[in-house]
Amino acid sequence: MQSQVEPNLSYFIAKARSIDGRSFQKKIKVAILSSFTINGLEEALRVKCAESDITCATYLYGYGQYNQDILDQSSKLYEFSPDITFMIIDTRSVLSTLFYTPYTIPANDRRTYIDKRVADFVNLVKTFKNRTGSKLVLTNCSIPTYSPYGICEVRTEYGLKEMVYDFNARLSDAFRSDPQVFLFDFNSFVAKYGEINVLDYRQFLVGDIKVSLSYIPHLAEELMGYVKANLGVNRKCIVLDLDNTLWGGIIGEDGFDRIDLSLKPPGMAFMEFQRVLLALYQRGVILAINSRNNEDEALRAIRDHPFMVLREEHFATMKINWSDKISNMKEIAQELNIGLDSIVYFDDDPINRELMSKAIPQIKTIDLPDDPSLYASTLMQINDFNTLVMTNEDRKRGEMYREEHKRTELKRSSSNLEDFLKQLEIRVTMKKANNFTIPRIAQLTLKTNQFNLTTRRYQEEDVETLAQDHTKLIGCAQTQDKFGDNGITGVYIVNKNHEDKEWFIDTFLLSCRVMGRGIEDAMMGYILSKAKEEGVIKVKAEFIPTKKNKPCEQLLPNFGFKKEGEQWVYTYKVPIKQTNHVELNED
Amino acid sequence: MSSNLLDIVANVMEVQVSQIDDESGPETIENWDSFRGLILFEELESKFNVKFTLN
Repeated sequence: MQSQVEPNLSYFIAKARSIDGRSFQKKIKVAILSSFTINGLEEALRVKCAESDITCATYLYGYGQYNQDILDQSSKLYEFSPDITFMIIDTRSVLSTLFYTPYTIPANDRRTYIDKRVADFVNLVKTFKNRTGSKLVLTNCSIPTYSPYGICEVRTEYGLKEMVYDFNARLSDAFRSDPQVFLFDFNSFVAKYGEINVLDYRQFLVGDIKVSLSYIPHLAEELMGYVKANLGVNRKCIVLDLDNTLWGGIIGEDGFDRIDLSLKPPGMAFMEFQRVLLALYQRGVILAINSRNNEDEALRAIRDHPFMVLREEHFATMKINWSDKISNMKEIAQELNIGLDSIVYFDDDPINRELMSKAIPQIKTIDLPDDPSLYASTLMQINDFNTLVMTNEDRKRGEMYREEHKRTELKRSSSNLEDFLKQLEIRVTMKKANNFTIPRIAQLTLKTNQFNLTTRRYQEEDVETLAQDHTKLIGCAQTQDKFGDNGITGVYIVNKNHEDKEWFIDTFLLSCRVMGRGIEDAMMGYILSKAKEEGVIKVKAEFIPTKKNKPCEQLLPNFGFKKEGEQWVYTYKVPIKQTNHVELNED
Repeated sequence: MSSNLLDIVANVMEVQVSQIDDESGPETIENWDSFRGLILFEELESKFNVKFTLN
């Protein structure tokens, strides 16, 4: 794989000084624990955060001290109260002298040793979780490439490499479904860049450095995946050009039979690229086309070319026309209801890229290499599609956007909005927060920007705590219509004050996908009716304006909430607004 | 020393180029700790395509 170009560590060290003191809206505190010297990682993380408009405070703890830092309740670690803690451990420190001389003890003892080390880490993590709400990203260990047994290593029962495989597998198992703990595949990181590069013996011997300085920026880049996902800063959509991007050549000039797209080079590079795109589509990344072409010619290739991997059904929208690409891009964002800052753009033409990055700098325009063989690996280097959890909604997103396309068609053919909404046959099911819905509830609070009254962010653990609290009411809305299931798209959190017969709406949000169909009204109506049933006489709410949440500005006044200072108050003087075209159920 | 080399040393050690001369080292420059020393190695190796040994 082509490796991403990263500046030297000295660049980050110098740059970190110049960005200190700059402040962005998004903030994160990162703690780093490690079993070896990892100087420079702090600076690289801070600089990379600043590049993504995130203010990052870091704290690096003494190497090899992580046991004390975690066990000591009054340690600097807990005083710092990080949002994310990276704990980076290496194989030598886990295996101790067995790393060099594993065969001084019999296989059974080696097993016992690994059992004990796994238990040590599981206990340490348990203590950590009891003391802090910080996310913990723990590394696994890189598998040693050398064995004193040479070619006989693989015949050896529970040999050196198997010890580490087993250690890694058991750490994975231990934390697979833990919402607070993530295992970073450090072994893959070392494999990607090569053990002989990542471990520079000179630096190791001089300074106990086990990730050489040249690879610290690469490590920081991979760890940024967690930082961005934790803040909900991720990209959702890949917009693609066609000619020389999805296939080789120009469909309008070379024709259907002559474009490069086949099982052998040069056409194979494009198939390879499309296969990686398809896999991203299946994890929930939206695909769209923005191409200057004759629509019928391009569509024929997409529909009928035998080696197209991606077909019409995979694209949420296709802008194939002769308008300028920048207007097309804006239309795509509008039609899909996504921010321009959630788009990644692939185009082989440097001039188009230049124009796009000038006109819409929020879009991540990829500097595509001239050689199409490198397209797939370029795509695989992009670290912006991460979410901390994968929900069913993620996996079905592509399908949902296709259904959305059908809705747009219906809207076009309907005489007016009311008529369209009636024909949609919308059904909303209000659900409680439970094990099935909590991951998605947290995800929506972290990601939703537009229709979100207060933009309060809650991690999965926070939602779990809220769900246990009897003074809170927390739930979500699943929406369906005649074209399909949109999954869980709405969330509300209410603080109940029984003494004063008052409710306070802490959070009210709706995924931008389903905005403007009265679902928000059905949800609000549900909350107000529910409150009335419980004898509430006053429902208070807030609208905290941000750069993005203008779409929900009118929700409260439309329901007859009156502004009192910073809050909005509803006192049942006007009847609860009805939403007749929506069928509402409770689960 | 060439000016390019001086620039690299000054940049890594966070001092003025004028403060660097042939005698500069950990004893004469306060910022020159072992970590910066290693960064300097890395910079020089990548800029001049050379390899240092530990001796």
